[in-house]
Amino acid sequence: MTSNIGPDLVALLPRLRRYALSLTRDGGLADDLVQGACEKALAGARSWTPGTRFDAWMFRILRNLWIDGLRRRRTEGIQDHMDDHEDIVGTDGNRETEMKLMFADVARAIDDLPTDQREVLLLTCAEDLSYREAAEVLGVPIGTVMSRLARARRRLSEATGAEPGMGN
Amino acid sequence: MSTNRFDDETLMAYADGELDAETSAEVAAAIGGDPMLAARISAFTRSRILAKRAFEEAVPPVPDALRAAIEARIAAMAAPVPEPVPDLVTAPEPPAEARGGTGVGAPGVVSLEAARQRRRGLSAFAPIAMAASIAAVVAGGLGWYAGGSGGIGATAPGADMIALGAGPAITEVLGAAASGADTALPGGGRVRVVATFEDAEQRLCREFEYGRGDTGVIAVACRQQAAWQVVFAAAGPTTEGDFVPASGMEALDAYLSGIGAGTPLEPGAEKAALSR
Repeated sequence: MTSNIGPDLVALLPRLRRYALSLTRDGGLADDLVQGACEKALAGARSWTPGTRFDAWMFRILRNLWIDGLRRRRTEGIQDHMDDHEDIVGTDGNRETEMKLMFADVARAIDDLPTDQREVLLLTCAEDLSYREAAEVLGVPIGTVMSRLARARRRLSEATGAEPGMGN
Repeated sequence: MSTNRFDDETLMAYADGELDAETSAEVAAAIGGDPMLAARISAFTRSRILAKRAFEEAVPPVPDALRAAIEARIAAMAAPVPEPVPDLVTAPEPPAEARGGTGVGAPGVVSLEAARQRRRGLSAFAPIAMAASIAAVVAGGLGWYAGGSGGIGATAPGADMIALGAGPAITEVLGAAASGADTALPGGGRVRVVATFEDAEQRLCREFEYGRGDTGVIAVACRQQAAWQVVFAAAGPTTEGDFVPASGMEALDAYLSGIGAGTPLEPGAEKAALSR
């Protein structure tokens, strides 16, 4: 049976791009990355097992593509074009000011995280992947996912003034 | 008993519902006597919710050109569905313009998101929580969290009490009481088990209500390796005599359909299942 991943893929685009932005921090690069990942996925749709998480499968493809690309760019000595850095912080929306300020703090704190912490935060907290699923996407042990994630969340807590006075 | 007994990773896993049953039970048992421990856990629950919302607020629109490119590629590859014919032969023209322009409402686009909403209590719940100002949480273990009305991190009155003290007592009721029974807890508050059912993974689950003072909680706990884990909870202010936050029901329904809740067990079957 051939699985038609098209509709799922289109539905996933905003989240794929969000992940891509979080990795690349550059709108143009993110678009290229998403497109490349989609093409890989469509070409290899048969390797996706129906019944497993489609989103996690896509995140892994996208991430591997990014890592491959990074490696290649590094060996070719080409610089990232980081000039039109796109902030991941959304600017519109009209909620209460208080909430906006809170989110601005959170978004800034997230933006300031090292990439490895930011992506694990996104995969677990925003994409609801389990630690194990995140570990599979990232190709690292669960313990690494947990320590990165705990570090990221401690920083968020610090940045938003909600330290319980503990932590290390 | 020192707060430092558990490291941050353990407490985070507890807050995320990722901790094994045995350690979860240890943490749950320690929470009652250790407010600092509870604070550390709730900081992790809070940071999760904050991060989720922050990421959700910041989903930038997908550029039209990107969407159109992907849709064209999909259309080119999709071709009429799988006869055992190599699909490179005839690729019909993509109906790109039918979808590309406005982009948003293409048929099928909602499917995954809808499925995800059904599967994931938190996503299903978030908009309701915003609209109805009820405190809510989806957490594993008894690491309950109350995100209150005014904004993230505000705590509904009474919710902390629930989080701190009632866990073990509720767990005891869940293991024994028949559905419909209304039990007063030793530490104050009442629990009423509403129904018992199995989820899609054949775990035994119970929907129950917990009320104390002017705060009510409606929750679902499932039994895993002999321990009860709260998998869904919505808390909110209640009116006298009615201890379910009305606004939580919708979220609960969404959650129950998401976990594939079966029909409630008859009293006999329930008794048998509980004693298993």
